Amino acid sequence: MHQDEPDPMPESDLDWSTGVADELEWPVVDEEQLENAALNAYLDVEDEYVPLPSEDSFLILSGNNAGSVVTAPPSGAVASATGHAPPRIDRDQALTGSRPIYLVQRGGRYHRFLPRVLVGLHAAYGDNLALGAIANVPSANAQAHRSFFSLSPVSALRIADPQCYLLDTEILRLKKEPITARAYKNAPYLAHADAPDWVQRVLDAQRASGANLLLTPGRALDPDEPQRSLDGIYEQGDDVLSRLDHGERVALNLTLPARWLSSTALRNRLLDQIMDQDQFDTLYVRVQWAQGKAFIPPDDAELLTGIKRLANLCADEERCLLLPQTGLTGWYALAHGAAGFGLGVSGADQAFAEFVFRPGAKGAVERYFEKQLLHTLDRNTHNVLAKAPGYVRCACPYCPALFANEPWSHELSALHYLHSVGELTAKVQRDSQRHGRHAALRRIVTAAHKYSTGLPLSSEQSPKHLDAWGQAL
Amino acid sequence: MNQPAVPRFTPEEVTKELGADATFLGAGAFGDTWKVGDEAVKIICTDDYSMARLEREVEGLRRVSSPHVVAFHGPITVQLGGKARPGLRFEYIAGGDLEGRITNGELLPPRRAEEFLKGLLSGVRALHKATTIHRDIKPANIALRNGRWQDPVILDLGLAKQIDASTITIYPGHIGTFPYMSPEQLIGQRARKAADLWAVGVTARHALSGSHPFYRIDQNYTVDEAYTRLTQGPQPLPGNCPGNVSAILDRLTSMVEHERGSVSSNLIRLSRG
Repeated sequence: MHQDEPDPMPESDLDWSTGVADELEWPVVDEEQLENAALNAYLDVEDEYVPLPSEDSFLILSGNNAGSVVTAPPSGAVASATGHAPPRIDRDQALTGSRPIYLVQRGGRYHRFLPRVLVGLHAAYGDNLALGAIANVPSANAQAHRSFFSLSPVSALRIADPQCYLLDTEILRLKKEPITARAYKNAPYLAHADAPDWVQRVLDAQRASGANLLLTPGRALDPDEPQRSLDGIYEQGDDVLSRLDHGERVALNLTLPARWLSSTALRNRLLDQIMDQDQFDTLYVRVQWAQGKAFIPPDDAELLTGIKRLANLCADEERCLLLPQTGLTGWYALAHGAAGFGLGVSGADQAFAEFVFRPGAKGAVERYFEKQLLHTLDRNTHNVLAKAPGYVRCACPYCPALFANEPWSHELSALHYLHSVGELTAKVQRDSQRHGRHAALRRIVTAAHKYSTGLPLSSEQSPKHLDAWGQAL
Repeated sequence: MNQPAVPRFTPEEVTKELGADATFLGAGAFGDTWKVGDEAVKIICTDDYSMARLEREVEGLRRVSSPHVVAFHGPITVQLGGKARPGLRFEYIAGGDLEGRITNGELLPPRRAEEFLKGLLSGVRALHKATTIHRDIKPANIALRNGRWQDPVILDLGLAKQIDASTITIYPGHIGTFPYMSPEQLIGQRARKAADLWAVGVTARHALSGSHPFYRIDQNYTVDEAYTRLTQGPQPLPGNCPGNVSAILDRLTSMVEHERGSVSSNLIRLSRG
C-alpha cells in the first residue's frame, strides 16, 4: 500500500531538551540508525498471528504485516501462544467509557511501528482497553493520515487533530512561527481562520484524513479573558454540532494553559461552564504544561487537584474525558474519572509543553521506562536496578531484543514504553473489579512507592511524583 | 407571588373578556393571574407588550412536557382597559402554593422528602431539556398536585417569570427572588442551570424545616450581607431527614456552581438511596 511519507520533522521540532536530567526525550532517528542490531533482531522474527474468532480472521502480531487483520494467516506464520484475540470494538463502544481509552499519537518517524504496538496491546489486553490513534492534521497530508489509520485496524478511535491552537501564540507559549510551510500545505485552514466557512474547513480536513471522532477547532482558552474565551469556544462548538452528518460524533476540543487547572478561580469557571453546557458528551482537553514540569509526572498539588476535579466532574456527569499528550499523568487521571489519555514517542507527543529554546542535547540519552517504578530511568541506572532484589524483567514483545543486542535501540525502548503504559492501563481496568479504577490505580502507585523505597537511585532518578500521587489518591 | 390587594382590572371586566367566571388569584410586577374555568390565565398588564415577542419567547415553554411542570396551554390576547394585552394560559392547580402551606405550618414530612425532591428535580430537568432556565424557583412558585407532596409542580415558567417577575431588584438586570437567588445571581452574574438547582435546594430545605435556611424573615440584608450569609452555610436540616436527601440538599446549596451537579446526576444519586 502506497504511503506518502511526510518529510522529516526538523530536529528542533522533536527536541524538547531542557537539560533536566529526568526529561523524557526521544531523539530523531536517521535512516542509518535504523540499521541496528536490536531493532533488526526484533523486526526479523517470523510472522506471528493470533486468531480473532469474533470476525473469523487473524491479527498479525509481528513480521512484515504486523498490525493488520487478515482472513488467513500468511504462509509460514506461526500461531501466538497467547490464545485468541478479544473482539474489536467500535467508536461508540469505546466512548461508553466501559474500558479506559488508550490513544497513541502518530508522531514522526516512529509511526510505522505503531500498528504493531496497537495490535499487540489488543491481542494481550483488548478486553480491558479501548485503543485509539491520533494524527495531527498539519503533520502530513490527508492520504498519509488515512493510510496510517488503515494500518491500525484495532483502533476504535481515529482522531485527526486539527491543532488550531497553533494560531494562539498570544495565549500559549509556542515556538516562533509555529506553523511551518508544510503545515500550511497540509492544513490550509490554518491560513484562513477568518474565513466565514472556517469551521467547515476544519471539519472537512478531519473527515478527509479518515477521522471517526471529530474535534471542534480547539483554539486556546485565554486565562486573561476567561468567560469571553469560554463562551467563544462553546459557540464554535455549537456551530460544529450543527454541521455534523448523521452518525458522526464530535468531542469538544479544549486547549488550556495549565493555570486553568491550578488556579481555583479559573478552574471553577471552566468546570461551571462544562457543567452548564451539556451538549457535548465527549471532551478532548489538552493542557500546556510549564516547560520545567512537562516531562516528569507532576507533583504539584494544585495541578493534581485540578486534574482530579476535572476528571471527577466529567465522570459524575457522564462526560467522556480524553486527555491527549499527557503520558503517565493521563494514566493517573484514570483514577479520578478520566475516560482516556494519550501519549506518544516524541517529546511533543509525550506532553504539550511550553516552548523554550535550548540547543539540542548532544547524543541521545539511553532511557528505559520501569513499569515497577512508574518512572523512566537512564540505562545505567536500569542496569543497576535490574540486579537488585525484587526486580521483575519486562516480558513485552520488545525487551528481549532490546536487551540481547547492542547498541541500545531507542526505537525498541520507545515501543516498550508504549506497550508498558498500555499494559498498566489495562491493569487498572482488570483490577478495578475490587472497588473501582481509583482503588486499582492507587494499589499500583502504592506498590511502586513501596518498591522504590531503599533502591539505589540518585536524587535526579528517583520517582518523586509517587509521594504526591499517593497522597492525592 | 407578591400580591397587591387589588387587581388591575375588575373581575367583571376579565370575566366578560374571557367569557367565563374569573377569580383573582394574585399579581406580579407585570401582570395579574386569574382562575378561569380549569385554567390559570396570566394577563400582561404592561403596556405595549407585543404578541410577536410573546410568541417567540413562549416557544420554549411549548416544548416542556412533565407532570412536574405546569402545563402551558398557549398564548391569548385580551382586550382590557382599551388595549390588546397578551396573556398566557396554564393549567390551574388547586390547593394553593407551597409558600402558603409553610406559612400555615404545613411542612414537608421527611418521609416524603425524597419523592418531593425527585419531583422537583424532574420538573427542572424538563425545563432544562427545553433550554429553559426558570431562575425563580421558590415556594410561591410550587404547587402540589392533588395536595400530594410527591407531586410538586413548578409554576411561573421561564418567560412567565420574566413578565410576571415578583422580584425585588437589587441591581438592574437581576432576575429572581432575593431569598432564593443563587450566590452568582446575587452578585449580578448570569443565572445558569446551576441557579435552578440552588433554588431547589433552598426551597426543599425551607419546606422541611419551616424556616429559610440562610436568612431571618425579620431581618433586612444588603447584597454583601446576604452573600456573606450564604458563605456561612445553611441551617441544619431536621434530624430525621433521610441521609440521601440531606446529602443531595448539601450539594444543591454549594457556593460553587459545578459542585451542585446536574439535575440528572442528582436524580441518580437520589435513586441510589
